[in-house]
Amino acid sequence: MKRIIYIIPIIAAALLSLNAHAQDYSTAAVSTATGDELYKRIDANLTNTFTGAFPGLVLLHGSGEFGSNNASYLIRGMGSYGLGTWNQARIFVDGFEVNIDYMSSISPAEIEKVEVLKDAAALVLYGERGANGVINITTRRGKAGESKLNARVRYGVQAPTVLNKPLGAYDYANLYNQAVSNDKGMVWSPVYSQEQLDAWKSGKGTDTDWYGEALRKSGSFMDADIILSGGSQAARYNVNLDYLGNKGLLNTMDTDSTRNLGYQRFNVRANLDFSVLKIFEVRMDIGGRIETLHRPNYSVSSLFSNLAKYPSNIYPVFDDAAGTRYSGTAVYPNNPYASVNGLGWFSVKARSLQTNLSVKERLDMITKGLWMEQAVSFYSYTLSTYSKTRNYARWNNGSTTTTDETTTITASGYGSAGMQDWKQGRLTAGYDNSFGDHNLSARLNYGISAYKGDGYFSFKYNTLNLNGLVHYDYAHRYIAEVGFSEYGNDAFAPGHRWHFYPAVSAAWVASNEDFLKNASWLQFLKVRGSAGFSGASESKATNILNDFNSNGRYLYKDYYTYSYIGAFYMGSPAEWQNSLVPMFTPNEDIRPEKSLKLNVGLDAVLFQGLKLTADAFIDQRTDILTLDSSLMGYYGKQYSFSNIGEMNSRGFEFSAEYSGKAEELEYSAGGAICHSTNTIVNMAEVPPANAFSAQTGRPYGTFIGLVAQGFYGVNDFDDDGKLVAGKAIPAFGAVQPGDIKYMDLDGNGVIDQNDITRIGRSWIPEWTFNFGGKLAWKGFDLEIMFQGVAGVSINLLDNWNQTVAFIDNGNAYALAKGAWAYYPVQGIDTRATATYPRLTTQSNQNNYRLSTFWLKDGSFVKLRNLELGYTIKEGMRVFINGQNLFCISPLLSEYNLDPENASGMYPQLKSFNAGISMTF
Amino acid sequence: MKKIIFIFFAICLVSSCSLFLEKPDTTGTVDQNAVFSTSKNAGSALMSCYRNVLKHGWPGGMGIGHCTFGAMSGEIGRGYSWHASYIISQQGLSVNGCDGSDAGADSYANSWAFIRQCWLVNENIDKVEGVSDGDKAIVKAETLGLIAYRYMGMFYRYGGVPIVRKSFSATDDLTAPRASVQEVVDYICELCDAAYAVLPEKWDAANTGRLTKGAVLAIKGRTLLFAARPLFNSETPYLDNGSHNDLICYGNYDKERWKAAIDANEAVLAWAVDAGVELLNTGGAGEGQPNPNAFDDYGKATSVFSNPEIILAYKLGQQEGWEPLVNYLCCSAHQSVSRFDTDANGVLTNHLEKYYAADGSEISWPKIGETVPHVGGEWTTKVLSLEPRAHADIKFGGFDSDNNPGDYYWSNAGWNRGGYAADKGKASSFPDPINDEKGCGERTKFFYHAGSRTWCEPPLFRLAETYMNLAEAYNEYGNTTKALENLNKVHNRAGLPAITETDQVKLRAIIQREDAIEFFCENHRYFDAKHWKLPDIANGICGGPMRMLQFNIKNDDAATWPYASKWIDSWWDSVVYNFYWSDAMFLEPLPQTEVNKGTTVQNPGYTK
Repeated sequence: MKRIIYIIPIIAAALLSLNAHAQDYSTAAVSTATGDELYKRIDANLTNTFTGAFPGLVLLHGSGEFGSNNASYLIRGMGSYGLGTWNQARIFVDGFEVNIDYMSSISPAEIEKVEVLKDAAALVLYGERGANGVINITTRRGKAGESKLNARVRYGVQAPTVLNKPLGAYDYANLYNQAVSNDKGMVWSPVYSQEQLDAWKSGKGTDTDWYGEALRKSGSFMDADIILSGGSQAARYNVNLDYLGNKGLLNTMDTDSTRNLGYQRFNVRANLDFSVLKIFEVRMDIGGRIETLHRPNYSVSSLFSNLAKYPSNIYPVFDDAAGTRYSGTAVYPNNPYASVNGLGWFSVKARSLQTNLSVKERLDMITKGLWMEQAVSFYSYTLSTYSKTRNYARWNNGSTTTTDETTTITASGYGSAGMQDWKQGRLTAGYDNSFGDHNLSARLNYGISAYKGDGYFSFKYNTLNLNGLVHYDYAHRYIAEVGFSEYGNDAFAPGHRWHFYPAVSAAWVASNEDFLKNASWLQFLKVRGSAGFSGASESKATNILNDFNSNGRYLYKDYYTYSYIGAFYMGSPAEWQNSLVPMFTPNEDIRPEKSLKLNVGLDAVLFQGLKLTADAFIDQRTDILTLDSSLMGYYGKQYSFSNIGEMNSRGFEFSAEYSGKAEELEYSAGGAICHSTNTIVNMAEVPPANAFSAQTGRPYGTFIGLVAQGFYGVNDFDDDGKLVAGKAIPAFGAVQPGDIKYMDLDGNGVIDQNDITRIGRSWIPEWTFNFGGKLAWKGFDLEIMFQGVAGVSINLLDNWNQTVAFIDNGNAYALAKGAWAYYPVQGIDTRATATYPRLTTQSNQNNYRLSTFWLKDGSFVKLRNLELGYTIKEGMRVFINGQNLFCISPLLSEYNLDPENASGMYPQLKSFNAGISMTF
Repeated sequence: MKKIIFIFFAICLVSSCSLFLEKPDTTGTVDQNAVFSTSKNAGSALMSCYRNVLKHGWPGGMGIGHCTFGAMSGEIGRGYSWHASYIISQQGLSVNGCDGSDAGADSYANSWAFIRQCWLVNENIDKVEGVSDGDKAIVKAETLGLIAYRYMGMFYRYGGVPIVRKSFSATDDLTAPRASVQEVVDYICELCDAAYAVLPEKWDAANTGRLTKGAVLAIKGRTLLFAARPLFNSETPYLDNGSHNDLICYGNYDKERWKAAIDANEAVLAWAVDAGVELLNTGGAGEGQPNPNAFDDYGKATSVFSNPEIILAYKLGQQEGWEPLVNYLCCSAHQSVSRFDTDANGVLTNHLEKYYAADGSEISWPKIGETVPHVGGEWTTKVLSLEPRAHADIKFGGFDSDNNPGDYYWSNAGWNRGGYAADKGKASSFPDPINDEKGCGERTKFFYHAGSRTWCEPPLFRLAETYMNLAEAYNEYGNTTKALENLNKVHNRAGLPAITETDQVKLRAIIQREDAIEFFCENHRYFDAKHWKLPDIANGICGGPMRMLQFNIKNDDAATWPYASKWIDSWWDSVVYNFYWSDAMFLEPLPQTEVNKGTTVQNPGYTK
């Protein structure tokens, strides 16, 4: 199985890319996909449509819950520490920056194209927005000519990719008896009697399928949009209206007192262009949205945690036959069915508006090719909540078990849940001209950005960016580009606010040379290279300062906080006193993180149909803001930050696509394979007792843990239950037969955290790949796309509830059936075959800690998209489509977990869709 | 034209950016200059030193999220599975910490953070305008006293620790290895002496609670007592630590260390006379006679804020819900927010057996291994025969709390969770436990006549401790007469007839028992037992079998929950769990992360 996963990308690499970016005269490394391509990945969240669309973009999915299902994305893997907003690619729409809230809800119908900017040449203007790459979105604009109306509707059914359900009551109780006996010195002491076991076996006892009760089999997806575009030379328009509705998997109806998980969105966009007096080009863009998310008044993540944790035998859904009293106990108070049906509902509404206005003046009358542009962008976003709530009494065997009482439904008023505004402006002077074979273009921009959000310390971001570039092209053969950004940021101390980021790049279009111009096998060949600096000014290092989580900003002042500690009472009677404590050691030298990016690439078109793109890169990060944890404790636990972190990353991307035509059959096939890895050079790590335990020198996120060596056997203990002499003693509490045995790597006779070492890969995949193809024949079209990752590890203990049996009143899953157990009288002996440590109901620090035992290969390949379409007549196409139809993964086959949602939260979805598109 | 454009940009740059990027909008923050610019702010900084430093070892100030030391030293049950005491009961003290601690049952790092806060105030107070030089000197002395207090706490937890004489800056040489036991004792005495010279004898009413001369004398007194006790005052350490034995042991036994402890504690007594601090004994029975007002005097001494017996208290009054001091100390039904966290902290038989009968005789409690349970009525008789301190300390199973008579929420009926290990029709459970969390009753100490108040001010030094320190030190130094004189101050105050034992070994055991009773729940036992190196430490003191009384309730419909004591049908003692012990636990471990940095040596037995 594993082998298949590794072989597939290699085959794929020999094929093609769905988005090879070839014939142009740019010097940059950019991956591009059109809005129409993204439209085929059917998902309400734009970030999830990026899967497999951009070589070099690593996407990490998690929960499939609407409203919480943004994919995390890394351009070219992990360049700096951690994964979060501080470290993700910046997003720009039509030249102005937006945030993830805005991007995730843009409809593909609004989008002309999305570009992922990867190298120094592509990022030359972005300064401190560039180090982690940029996602650049261009919206659709009207073209002069005939007016066009495009109307589309699509509808789909969505179901979980995987639901990992726990054991039924019979299996649960059998294993529970084992666990309790293990805890009583391996003396058989069953809690559940044979009578009870027989009842469950014959289907009589309480045996509730909580997943089945709280979830329905499928949800739905519906999307309708209209694009109206056209205009004259003087005025052009592209107007867009989109409605999207998504219904979730929770087993409840949308009524006055209950709501299924659901999401609705209305998008409107009007992009208008006016040409005035042959001098002025005016652009006016308005993009607005209203989004509503609703769910039962119980957090979906808590619900899934309960579903995973609540055993089947605790109680039935209702305590009475009439079905009026919800069951519940003090230990399991939140009956999952009642959480969905008995608590009312909650909704959150987001409204956002982005308005851009720009005026461009052609100043050819001054000198040919000169122009200027002034642009502004205003963005505002508000979030409000509304809910109707109630509570229910918890019943068990005819009496209530908690203080909760059944209440009638009560409506809450609207409340604000956050606001943002973002004002941006840009002045540009440009010059584009050609002198024979010499083509020159240059621009100089001055950008200003003021963002305000909610928050205590990190709500205000003011930046300035003076940037420019000169692009020179000789006869479309030799191309050179020089650019810079001089970036000003309010995060730093006076005198440290401005930083300079230059970049240079060049390309050679060999196919335009005389000696290749007429080669029949070669249609295009470009070799390019770039080198340059960019920066990043935000950091998670300050997350440790609970009260001053400033995203790495303002660290130059010696701030004290009032609120951290409270009061001390003096005097008699006591008198209230305020308290102040220092928060961190100020450091005036704090500066942005710096990235040096080197890239070489090649774009080619061979044999009339084979498009190739290859890139290799190095990204050297220095000045990463780091908490200096190497300071001794007696320094006073004073947090001290400095720019001492260093990390190197490197990798390559290769994509290929071959397209051709045989009579009426058009076909194409291709794929992409991308690799990225990194090394932590310095993160001020406290040197571990043994060098082999260090994070430094290894890729970020590498799992460091113990090396498991099977289980302790009966013979490893003496009659007193002590380990026999000569065995290394685990420092995690007393062990008994069936506990996990670890290697004592440093050979000191004690197994402890000093014996941890690299036990797998990182949680960030090293390899991402996709492959697929298209066929078109007599009006029919077929498209298929696979995507996957490899070189990634997953820790099963991150899904604690579905992995660890019984502890803290937990549940048991199929894997617990492989538990080590030895009760010869009862006929239980799994000593030779055990795949899971002996069961216990008590906390166990020895077995349930990160080790090779729990670390699994997280590789997978998924069939992401399969679409069959038929064009009935010009301008009218119908299609059926399947998303995420199947997955090949060791984690799925062995543990019944979706490798993209290994924590068992709201599932990733597969869907079956059908749609129609009409153009008039 | 181009020139004009560039000039335009240049103007923009110069004019706008200096303002636009000027100032971080960090509302609600102050910097160091602001703190030490006004006496109000500087006072606040000093108060946070008090609040942080003195919390050492109390809930919320241990470094661990839940529990009290009593739950780790045979006083009360170990709590719930998420409590540090429970985890430690299973696995011992860990170099990686548990339940939020950075190692063992303490936060090593917090101690240093708070010492640094003290040094910052000490070093910057001179900048404040409008405060007299005399007041500044006192503030400095207070910070020195607070530093000494924290060093004292670290001293008996870890042994030798690094000596820090200022607030470090990032450019300082930070190699400071652990100092020896001797050096740390000297340093604490040095700090106390310096503070003593400046601090006032006593404070006016508005400032009661701040350090006095007596407080620093008491710090010195306790430090020197611990220095004289067998764990440190010994030729060989409890476990060999190679070339670093001086970090955990003096390397010789010197009887004169007891003399030093005597002198230091006598100094406290001498100060107390002048400052009006006294052992509460209002009965007027006279020297050597049982105090007829014992219950009220002991109750007031441990519960009433700023009472005359207090030398220093932790004066943090904060209502339930947020404050761990409330959440883990107050068991009363008045506490409604986090009371469940005290649910599994029933009083252990291990502690109950320490109490005397009110007439000074012994009470015979059920024993493990008995073949039949005891009959119910016996429980009532035995409880009623207990000495007054037991009644102030514990709400016994089926009884109302004597601490707050007439208050429904302190009564058995209003206690609202049973409060002892009782269940109906459980005769067949004998000799196994019915319940392993509730024991014979729950704590009520610190809540004498508290009513609905859920917080308390735990005493850090009461004059009773000074007498007990003297009793112990005199006995070890060979002066039995003085030992008995001091012991009986406390023993008589508790309403008990005077002790007359003159055999040093037997008297030692009596003194240790008196400490265990008098300072129940006051964070003494956990350290005392270790520093006395009690031979049975792993057999029911800090480690080993922990026992709780079990109560079978009559199977009678009239017996309704919460069961009054009259419904007890039979009762017995059961081992409810075994507390983990290894000899390494005589001292706390240092955090592994700190040891890994290379300069600091771990205590023996944890890891090498």
